[in-house]
Amino acid sequence: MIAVEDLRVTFYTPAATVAALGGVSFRVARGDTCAVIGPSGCGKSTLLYVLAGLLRNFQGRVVVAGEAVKPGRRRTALILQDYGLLPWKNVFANAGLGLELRGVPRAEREARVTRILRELGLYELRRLFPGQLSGGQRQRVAIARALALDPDLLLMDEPFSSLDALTREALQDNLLEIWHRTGCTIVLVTHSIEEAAFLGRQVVVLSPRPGRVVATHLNPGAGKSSWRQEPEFHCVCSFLRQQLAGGVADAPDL
Amino acid sequence: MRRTFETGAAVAALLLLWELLAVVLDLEALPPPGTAFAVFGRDFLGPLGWHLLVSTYRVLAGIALAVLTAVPLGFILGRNPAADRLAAPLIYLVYPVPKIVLLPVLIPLLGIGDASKVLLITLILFFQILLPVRDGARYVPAALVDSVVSLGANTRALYRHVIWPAVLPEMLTALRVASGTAIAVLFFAETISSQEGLGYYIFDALSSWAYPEMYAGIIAMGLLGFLIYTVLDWLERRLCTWKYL
Repeated sequence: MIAVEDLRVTFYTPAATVAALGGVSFRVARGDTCAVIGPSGCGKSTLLYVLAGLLRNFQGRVVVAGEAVKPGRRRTALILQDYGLLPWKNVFANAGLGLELRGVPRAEREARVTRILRELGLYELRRLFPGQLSGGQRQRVAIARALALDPDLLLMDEPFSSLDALTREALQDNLLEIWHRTGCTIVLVTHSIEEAAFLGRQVVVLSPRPGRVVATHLNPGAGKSSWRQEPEFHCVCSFLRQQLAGGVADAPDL
Repeated sequence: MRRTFETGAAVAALLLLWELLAVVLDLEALPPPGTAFAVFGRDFLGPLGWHLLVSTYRVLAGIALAVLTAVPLGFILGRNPAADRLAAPLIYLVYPVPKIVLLPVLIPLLGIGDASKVLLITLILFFQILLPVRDGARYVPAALVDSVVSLGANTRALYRHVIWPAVLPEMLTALRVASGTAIAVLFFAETISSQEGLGYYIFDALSSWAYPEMYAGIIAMGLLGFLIYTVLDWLERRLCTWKYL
């Protein structure tokens, strides 16, 4: 589904030249999940922007679904860190925005949004505005908006990091259900070791800026909600912790 | 209902203060509100009503023209730093110039009728709307823009769904602040070069020592301001529901 080869991204600002990604390579099979983990500022979000086709100024090769990545791919859905909901649209309009932008007729749009909001338990909230929702509810609306587009690739930036522990785990379980049901490919970027170990059937560990791949860890246990309780889960977590610490040369005690 | 009550209370307080001052000062130049309202009632369906209508038309046309020109330009400058770098010095140079000084230029060009007044108001409001719209458009959170673009928005859809709703509250606030200035300037313009409008009516009454008429004109002017603020308030509550949750 995704092949990234020697991806390099450099930002040129008047003040400085910043290398965000310094040669990143990995692959994600169709229908698999991949978590990208790394310290703050290692270029994780930049990587998602490239995969989403929003950032085109990169070197290296990035292939999504057999084609060089390009903007406007219809079945790629991106969920950003603060969910990117429009404060002036209510839940229903926010969830239907992608369909509206793609010119899906109103009747079909409303039917699809209604179905997805019901599935995610958001239908009762449909007339509320994002400002009236809790963080977890907002994230679910953002997921609903993405799912309405029937994506085969779901890109998520720090999806649950700002939520409290219980909401976070509930939503992680929710995401796994969605993954099982739709079979879409999921790439998520996170700084949380537990989140990466729980959701990523493959975990890519990045070094501090400029981000390079420190390790690619296969994590086949991920994908079922009981994984969190299994001893191996904790082994994966401590393995990732070591890998992350190894990548952070100036902070060996992380 | 509550708002109606509060507005009524404010009007009553104002009238009471006026009445008190009129009684205490006992000046010909400050007739009690009863006298002024009697004239207002008498003239409203006659000359006064017509002058109020003319002034209302001038203010509303000026607002409409300013919004229609300043908003698109604000969008362009806000979203294109290069264009803004070119235009900003010009804007900052012209913005502080009191536009009323252009009246002697506008009158020979457009005559003493509606056009010169409307354009004067447009000029004043244009800059007051342009700057907040430009800044609002510039500082729309990048994450909002990115996520809507990733949903498949083209430039037009981006303006419609993101930029415009984001700047709308600021635009309405700017409009509210600026329309006070606009009415004041309209008054001034109508006193020096017009045969119509509330400014003319008030100044005409003033120069013929017809104080009750003058105050009737002032009441009409107050009404005009109140009408505009009420409409803007209503628009803001209606269009920016999300701000008042």
